[in-house]
Amino acid sequence: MNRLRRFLAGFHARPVAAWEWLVMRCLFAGVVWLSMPRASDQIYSSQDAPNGIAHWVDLTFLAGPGVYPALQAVVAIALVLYAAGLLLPAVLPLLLVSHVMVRTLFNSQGWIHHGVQMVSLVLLAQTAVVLTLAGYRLLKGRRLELRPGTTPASYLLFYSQMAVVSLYVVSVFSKVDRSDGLWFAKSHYVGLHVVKAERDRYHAALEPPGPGDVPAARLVLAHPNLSRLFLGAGVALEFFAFLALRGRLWALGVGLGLIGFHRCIAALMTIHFHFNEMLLAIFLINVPYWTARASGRLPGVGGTAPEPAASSA
Amino acid sequence: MAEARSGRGAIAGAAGAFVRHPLGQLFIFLLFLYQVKEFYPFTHVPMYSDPEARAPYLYLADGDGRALPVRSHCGVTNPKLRKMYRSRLGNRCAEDGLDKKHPPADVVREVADEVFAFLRERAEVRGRPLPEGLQIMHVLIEPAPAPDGFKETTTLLVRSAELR
Repeated sequence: MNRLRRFLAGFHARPVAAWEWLVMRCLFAGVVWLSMPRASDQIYSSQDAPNGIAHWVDLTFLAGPGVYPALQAVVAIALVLYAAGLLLPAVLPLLLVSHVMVRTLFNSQGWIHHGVQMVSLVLLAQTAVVLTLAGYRLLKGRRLELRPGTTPASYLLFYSQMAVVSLYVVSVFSKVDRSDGLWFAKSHYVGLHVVKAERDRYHAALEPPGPGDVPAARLVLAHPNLSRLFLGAGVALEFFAFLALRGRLWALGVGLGLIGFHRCIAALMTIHFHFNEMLLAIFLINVPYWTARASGRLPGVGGTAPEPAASSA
Repeated sequence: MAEARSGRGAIAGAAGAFVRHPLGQLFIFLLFLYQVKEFYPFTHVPMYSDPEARAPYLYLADGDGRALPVRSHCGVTNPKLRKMYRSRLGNRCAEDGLDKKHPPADVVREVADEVFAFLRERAEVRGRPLPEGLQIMHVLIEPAPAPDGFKETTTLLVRSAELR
């Protein structure tokens, strides 16, 4: 019982150095920018199958002349401010609303693309943290008391990690529920979907000429039990993704495991989740921290008092 | 009375501790995600959550049944073509109280016309217009004996108005 209590007590925000959080902000700003459509012709002028806020708001105004380029300019400025750690209580909600509007319009055409939700969710998590801290200060006239050694950046990182892992854990809920608990028994049929993914890839551009061979699908279908074992390991990894919240080492392990998982899916089905991988690398793997630690130069983290992080957070 | 009050207090305390604990917060958020399903940016990540023994896909073809590169023309991938057709058909069937597994032919044609119109508009915007007559082909992938392990059966799903 004590062991369980100690284990559960390990899930909390941890000290984060200012330089570390600065690197994360810069990288995440880049991801947000990359996840916005590049050109106005990707902004649709209809929303025939509304999703999310498109049920209440007509987002097709984004396709109006000059609107999207203007929004891109606003987002670019906001991202520079975000990377610099300035005016976060104003900048983060602006980024969140812009990102959600654009991606909601994209998902209101009759399809749901699942490659970018994680970026918006991290923006949502960070917005919630800065507004909670700012709101508390406004209402109570003093700063919210944080865990010893932590700064607002600690919570921004912690809840960003929570947003990232939540999508992996909820996918396990979906597998259990939608398959009536038979996911493992049926999992070798993923082989058929590997074929489908290959055919989808071929029909997108008809290149190379003629549909490709699918040896991986044949292997999966020919060895159902081996496939269940392999695919089941992937599901276990998704389920235990929440352990990333227990500390840097756990986050590193889960992050590496999930990137490996995405790489396997990409190799097997040519389905890519580039933004998920980027966020795993930034918020879970955290290469700058481990590089600094390996080189023995680790200012402001773990054991030593952390440097004050993002002043306006 | 006092016991009941202290019992309620203990429950309230446990509930408070649960909500304050990060895993409790994560659990509540997961329930929310699962309840909301698809409401951008929220999702329950349903991809491959029910791997069935049949995997259907659609592709766009010209009047002679030759496949067209849908992404090159319209900037839309093949899965998006499928999802767009299915979701519009599903919505239409829900509105009219029809069985979406066996929709009437006229409903299929009307929904397909909407999809064709969308694709033509995107192709025009991108300067890669589509041919006059279009078809949507349906391919069903099913398990089959070794050595292939699967078989593919192609049928015509629907033609555009020019070909009817």
